Amino acid sequence: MDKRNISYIITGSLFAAYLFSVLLDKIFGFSLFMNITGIPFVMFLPGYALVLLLFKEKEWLEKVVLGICLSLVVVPILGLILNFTPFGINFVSTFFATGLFTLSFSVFAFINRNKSANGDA
Amino acid sequence: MINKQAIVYSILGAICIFSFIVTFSVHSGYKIPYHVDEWTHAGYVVEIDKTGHVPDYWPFDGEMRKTGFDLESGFHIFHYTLFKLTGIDLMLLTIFLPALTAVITSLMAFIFMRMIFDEKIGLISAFAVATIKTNVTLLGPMFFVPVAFAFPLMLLTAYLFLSAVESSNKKYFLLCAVSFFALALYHPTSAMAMVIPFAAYSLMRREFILKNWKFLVFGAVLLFGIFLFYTPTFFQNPYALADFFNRRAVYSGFSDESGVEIFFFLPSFAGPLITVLSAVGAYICLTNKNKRDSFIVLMFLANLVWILTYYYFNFSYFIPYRRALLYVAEMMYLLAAVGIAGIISFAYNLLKKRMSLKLLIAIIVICCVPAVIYQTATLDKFTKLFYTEISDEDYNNILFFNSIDEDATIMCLPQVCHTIFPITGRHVVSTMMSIDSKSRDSVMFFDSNCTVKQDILNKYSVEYVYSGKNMSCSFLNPVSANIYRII
Repeated sequence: MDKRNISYIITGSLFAAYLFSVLLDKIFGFSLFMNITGIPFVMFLPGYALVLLLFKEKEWLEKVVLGICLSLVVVPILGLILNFTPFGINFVSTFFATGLFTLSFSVFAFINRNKSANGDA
Repeated sequence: MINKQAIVYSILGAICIFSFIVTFSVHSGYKIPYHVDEWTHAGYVVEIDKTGHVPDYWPFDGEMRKTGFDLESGFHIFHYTLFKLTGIDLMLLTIFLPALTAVITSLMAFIFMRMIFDEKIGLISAFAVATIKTNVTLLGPMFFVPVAFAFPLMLLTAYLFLSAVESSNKKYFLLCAVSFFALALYHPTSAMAMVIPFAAYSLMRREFILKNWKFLVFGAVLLFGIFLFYTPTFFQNPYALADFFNRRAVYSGFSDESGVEIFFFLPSFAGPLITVLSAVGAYICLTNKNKRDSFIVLMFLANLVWILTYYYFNFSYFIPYRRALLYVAEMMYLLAAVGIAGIISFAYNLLKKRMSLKLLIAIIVICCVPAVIYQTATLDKFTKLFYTEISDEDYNNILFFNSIDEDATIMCLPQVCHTIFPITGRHVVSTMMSIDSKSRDSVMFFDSNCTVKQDILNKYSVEYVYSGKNMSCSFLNPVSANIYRII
């Protein structure tokens, strides 16, 4: 396995785990898993996706810490934008805004990394 | 052979655990928020949940008294998002998040100081910020408040700013601007505290200004944009404008009526150990050739100005005195880390020729352990100064209101009432921050006879009363512990 893919695997796994936990909560009312996976979904993944795109050269600890801190930056700005839209701030809108942000930046980062890897080759 | 990086990460992990425990232990015997401000912020989160929008009114009493755009909206939005997307109980979140914030602060201090200096100073800084003191007057890392949450973001913004200056890279400029905007959303005062150090550092690096004047123009436009963003709040109603000039821009003193120990003198707050070490750290930073080292000293001095104006002239513009005191103390802790590293390095150089390394380590440990114990002991002294808004028993009683009609209004003493809306989402007659007449009526209700009581209840269309003592009036029907329904 390519070591450079680990960041993407972790991001994808945390994202998928959260989606699964939301289903567990909404269908079976089992919320404990969502309590646990929700924290990285809000406090880590949005910023980390941004870091993957912008700072791929940094070492892992710096990426993780910047990921956490940039999540604190990204989440309220997304919420503020939602506040001025007809959707408002609620579970569905924040879930989609945070999820789409994370997903789109991770995909951009992955494509960008593959492009530069192909360029190097 | 053990990898050096593994040792650094292990120490950092231990510091994070220490940081979490120090902050969370404050709540070991009390599982709900302490301070009235923590309840206020929790109340805003509840209101966002009810309406889907950040309130521009005081949400607790249902009167919709306009307060202008929420100046700490970023803090409330973030906590709402975390509350909703994790499904964690709001009360648990309010006591658990400060501990998590403390860990993030330690990690960001490590990254920031490692970038400026080295890994050793980074580790000492991560530990030092975990021991920042706080009490109910100087709300710091142990409370669920924006100023505590803003500290890691101040370090992040500074990190991105210094990286931008060093590398002249667009992505750092952009992220620094975005992070500054988010900081202004969380806590405008903390963003304000960054402006002077940024400007002063830019002036110190004139080659940077000449090379990147376009980005600086962008930064100035952004700053102006943020100012415009908040301007309507100040002009929305005369009260907000007056409030800004009276309490936010010019902070001229506070009383100690609560009986809480208040520190007017910086060394008394930070402690003699940190004061001496930070002076050594400042000396090291200023005598180093690398201009980047002086940034923390700039942050320290820029906020010290407001403390001095307060000491000598009894005013401080734009940054309230208590906040300036906290920012300066935070910078002192970072400078103290530089000081400790400097002293260790100096001692090592001085003694290595004469003593064995083992003896040197023993001396350093003997000197450092009492210092750490002293620091932690004084921290404990501060946390003993916390007071509570309600007792655990009150909290359990108040949960009853979750089962009543959502539109019902509750009469209680302002201090207790302040917690009812965040816990149950039910409106109350008055809170700690209500207009005087409502608070007066609430207090009078509990001291008056049944006739006056009924008049007050009718005036505010009250349906329930929460009382700390037995009440016997014909129209008060006890329905639960300390709770009466109006017949």
